[in-house]
Amino acid sequence: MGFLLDECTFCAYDETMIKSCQPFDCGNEDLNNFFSKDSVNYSSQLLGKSYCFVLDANSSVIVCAFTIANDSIKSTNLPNARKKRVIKNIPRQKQMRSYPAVLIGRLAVNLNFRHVRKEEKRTGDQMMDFIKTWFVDGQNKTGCRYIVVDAYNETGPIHYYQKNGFMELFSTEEQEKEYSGLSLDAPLPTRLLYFDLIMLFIRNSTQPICHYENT
Amino acid sequence: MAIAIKSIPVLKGKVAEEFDRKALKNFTKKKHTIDFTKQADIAAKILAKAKL
Repeated sequence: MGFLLDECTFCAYDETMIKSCQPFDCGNEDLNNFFSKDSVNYSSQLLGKSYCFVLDANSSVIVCAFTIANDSIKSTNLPNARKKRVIKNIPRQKQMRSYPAVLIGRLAVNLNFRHVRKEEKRTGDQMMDFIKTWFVDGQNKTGCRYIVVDAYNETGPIHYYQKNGFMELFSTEEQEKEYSGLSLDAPLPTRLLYFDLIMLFIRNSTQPICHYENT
Repeated sequence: MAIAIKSIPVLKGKVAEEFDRKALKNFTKKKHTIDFTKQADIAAKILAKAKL
């Protein structure tokens, strides 16, 4: 059904995993550093939790990994007329001002597994499908409207997220710099993008992940 | 030290309005428009096999 299901196992990515696995190389030094050093610190401070897929044929090989954290998109300054309309359509006022979200802090695929032969979807796309589904799972303990990612401001990563349905949170780099407190002359290393999980539906299934089909 | 994970800034003014407009549009017009049944079946099997 897919490489990540058929030939990999999903695991928590922790210190034990780092010690028992071969060094993870996704071709990006910052990401490699994060997953070899910083991810454990983020986890110990409860700022982010990392997960990975390891190869079944050799469990010391990490195929791909990601780090996630609870977050939210907060908006203010709604004009009164619009505010009333939003409240009418979204049951809880709190959701209008603070949309629950999960933040993908880091996401990476091992250089050797970006595209597996005969696979319909690239490994990164399979991983993104899994993450999206995980947060519309009926067993999810909290509501989650959006997936947000802090993506490297480079053509490849931005294209990857846009191909997977993500949209830019800020329409221009200048706007994002302003909100990030950066000078307009300074480079913008990452960009915030989001995916609206409300667009997904899952028909009744015998599997534990249950449906959100419109009724 | 890798680049720090950016926090999401609070949206204000026109940016907030635009975001709320899209949120409302998706809620009213695009809700449940992408069939993710196949992906959910795969995810369920991945989780059943997972070592967490």
